[in-house]
Formats: sequence, structure tokens, C-alpha cells
Amino acid sequence: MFYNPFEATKNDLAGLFNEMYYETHAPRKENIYCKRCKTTLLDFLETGFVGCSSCYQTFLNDAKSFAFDVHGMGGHVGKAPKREATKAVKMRELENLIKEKEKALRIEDYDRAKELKRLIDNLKEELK
Amino acid sequence: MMDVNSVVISSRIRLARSLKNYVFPSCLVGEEGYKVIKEVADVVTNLDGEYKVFTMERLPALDAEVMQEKHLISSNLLNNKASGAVILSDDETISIMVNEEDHIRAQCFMKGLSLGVAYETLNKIDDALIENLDIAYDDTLGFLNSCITNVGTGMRASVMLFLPALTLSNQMNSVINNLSNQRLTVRGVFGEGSEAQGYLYQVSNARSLGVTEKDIINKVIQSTLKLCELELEARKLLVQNNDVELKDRVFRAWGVLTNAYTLSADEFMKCAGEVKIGIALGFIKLKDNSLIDKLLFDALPSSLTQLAGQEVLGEKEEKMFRAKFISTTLKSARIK
Ligand SMILES: [Zn+2]
Repeated sequence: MFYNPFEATKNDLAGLFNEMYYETHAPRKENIYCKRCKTTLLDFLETGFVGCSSCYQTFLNDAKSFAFDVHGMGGHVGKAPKREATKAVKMRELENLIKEKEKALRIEDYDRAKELKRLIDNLKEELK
Repeated sequence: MMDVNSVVISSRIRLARSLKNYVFPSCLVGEEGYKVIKEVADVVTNLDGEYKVFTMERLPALDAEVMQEKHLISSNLLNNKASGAVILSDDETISIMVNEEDHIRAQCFMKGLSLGVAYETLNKIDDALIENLDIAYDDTLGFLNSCITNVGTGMRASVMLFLPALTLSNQMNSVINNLSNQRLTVRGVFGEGSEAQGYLYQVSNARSLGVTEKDIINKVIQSTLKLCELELEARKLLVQNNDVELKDRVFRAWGVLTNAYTLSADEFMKCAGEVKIGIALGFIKLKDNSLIDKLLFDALPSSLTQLAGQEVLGEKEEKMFRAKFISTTLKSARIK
């Protein structure tokens, strides 16, 4: 199996490296498959069908570009399950708080940064 | 006022939903199929209104075929004896197929142009399903289903249209091209494309991602109204230019339907299309003009067999029974 040395690390920088690593060391499409239902990426790209919802996580980037080819550009704008909708709102809130914290650190407002860190931690806990 | 009802026969909304905690129906094995049926049925049967659950395994073949002829279930579901099921409301306006292509295919049927009402009705059931089940969803891809063509809203909004004048004046091909440019799909209800039997077509949205449910419904309604306008215009021209020919066509068909001793499903469908033109143009008046639409489905082989109170009908018996049933019904419904 493909081994990703950065999988275990969680900080943002590693995430960035992770992405770069995938771009240059991405496994060949032939070898990608869903561990849960065994559908391969090639099957999916040929037929448009997946075997379970986990396939979409495994093939996420390919699924997105495939979906935009089929439906035209643009992500989902229709009905969303309530818990997903609140989750999306919280995710955006989290992004904003992180940006604010960075700003506070830049201007060396450590009290504000500390307060923001507390809010961020709370939100992260809620999102778990 | 445009006479929309002489063109639009019915509306249908379909929502596809999938469960996160089970592999999709094509991969389901053993007891898992039953578990999916049970999870969905538990939610639906707790809603207001009467619902009945039918598993394909236990449903008698004839009943299943009748459901298929009424479009309550698909042939895909009918053939899934191992894990397919359908949950029907007592008035048969709601049909929820379980383990069809997706775990859940919920549909609502209404007469005439009623996509908005159909969606509202179905949306309440969908809310309950989403609240009680672990439905697969992604922020970008929306509702995740078996096929990439059904992600996003997972919605198909469709109307059944009667378009004889556009067909007879050879405009259907350009209509179909035009609609497909707008990401709408057109197909014959019985038979394919421009060869649609009975001049009956189904128009539905092709795009389900990147648009809201409201966008989809509005688009199908707008196109339907445009088609109504074109069809009614074409009917006017047909009457102006070929009045005698048209009446001859209608009354010959009426003659067959009210006098034939045997009648195949195909011949019935063809003649019913012509008689429907006569009804739309006022050459023939029935006590209830939608009767002919009902007959279109009642006269299909399995529905007819059930109506005859039989388990099976031989080919000859079927044709004879159809002829008798149609002629009696139409004769008694006509207003001279
Ligand atoms: Zn899978």
C-alpha cells in the first residue's frame, strides 16, 4: 500500500507539504480503490458509479472534477441536512477566528490572542 | 388563459438519498438489505398518514408488475428480489423505493403541473429521513448517491406532456435539441424519443448539482409553459390547415376503440393518442376528460389482467378483454 509519511502530523505546515507530496508522489489511478467496498477509481471514472459513501472520500478530488464535468461548475447550493449546515457555519467561524488570532499575534496583542485561542479550542472541541 | 391541462398530464418529484453506514445497494449482501429496509420503513411508517411496506421478495409477481406499469416502482427495483422494497402511501401519491439504485428513492406524483406542491409534500418526508437516518452528504458534492449524475440535490423534477401537434408537425427533434441545450432531458413515456407512443413525453432536469431545488423546479416549469405555448400554437395551425384530415384521424381511432373485437396494447396506445387529440380540440367530449389518461395505464397488460380478476391472461384473451373494457368505458363516458 501507498505510505504517506505525513499522515500522522496534524499541523498546517505539514498539511501543505502533504498536498505537495501528493501532487508529486500521487499513486497511479490504477492503484487507488475504496477500502470499504473495493470499487476502484478507474471503475468510478468509467461508469460514474461508486459502491459506498466512503468512495467519495477516497476519490474526493476526482469526484469533484467529474461532478463538475457532468453538472457544470459549482458546488452544492441546495438543501443541506441541518447538522451539516451548522457544521459548515462553525467551520467558517473557526477559519475566521484563526485568521483573527494570527492578526492579533502580528500586532503583538497577546491577551486578545489568548482569548481567541480559547474560543478556537472550544469550537474545535464542538466540531469533533 | 392557456389551457395547460390539455398538455400537462402529471408531475413527479424524485429525491435520491443514501445511507452512510451501509454500502450502496449494488454491493449489499446478506442481511444488510433487510436492515436498510427496516431503518427506512421505521421512519416512514411513523409519519402521519398511512403507509404500507412491500418487499419484492414477497410481493406477488402480478402486483409488482402493476406497480411498475403505474410507475410506482422501476423495473430495476422489481428485479431486486433479494433486497428491494417499496413503501407506498395509501393514495399512491408517495412511493419510496428502498434499495433501488440508491438506498432511498422517494417520489411524489401529482396530476397536472404541480411540481411545487409535489416537492413540498416530499420535502417533509425527506426532513424526517434526514433527521432520523445517517444520510451521506458532503459540503461540495451535496447528497452522495450511487451515480455521479445524482449528487447535489439528488432531485429529478419531471412532467408528463401530451404533444401531438408538435409531433405531427415534425417539430419534436428541434424541441428535444433545444431542451437538451438547457440541460433538460426528453424521452417518450412509452417508446423512445420522437417515436413516443400516444404522443406522450417526459421532460426532466439533467442537472442536480450546483442548482437549488427551487432552481430546478422553476426551470422545468418555465420550459413546460413554453412547450405548452408551442404545442397549443401548433394545434391551432393543425386545425386551420388540416381540419378534415385531423377529424378523420380522430374518429377512425374512436371507431377502433369503441368497436374493435380485439385490441393490442400497442394499437390501443396509438388510437388513444389520436382520441386524446380529439378530446383536446373538442371534437369528442367525455364526462371526465382525464379518463383517457387513466385508461392509458389501466389498459397495460398486467393492470388489465388484474382488472379482469385473473392471475394470467392468454394473448388472445388479453386483447379481447382490452377491447371490451375500453369500448364499454369510452362509450358510457361520452357526452353526445
Ligand atoms: Zn466505497
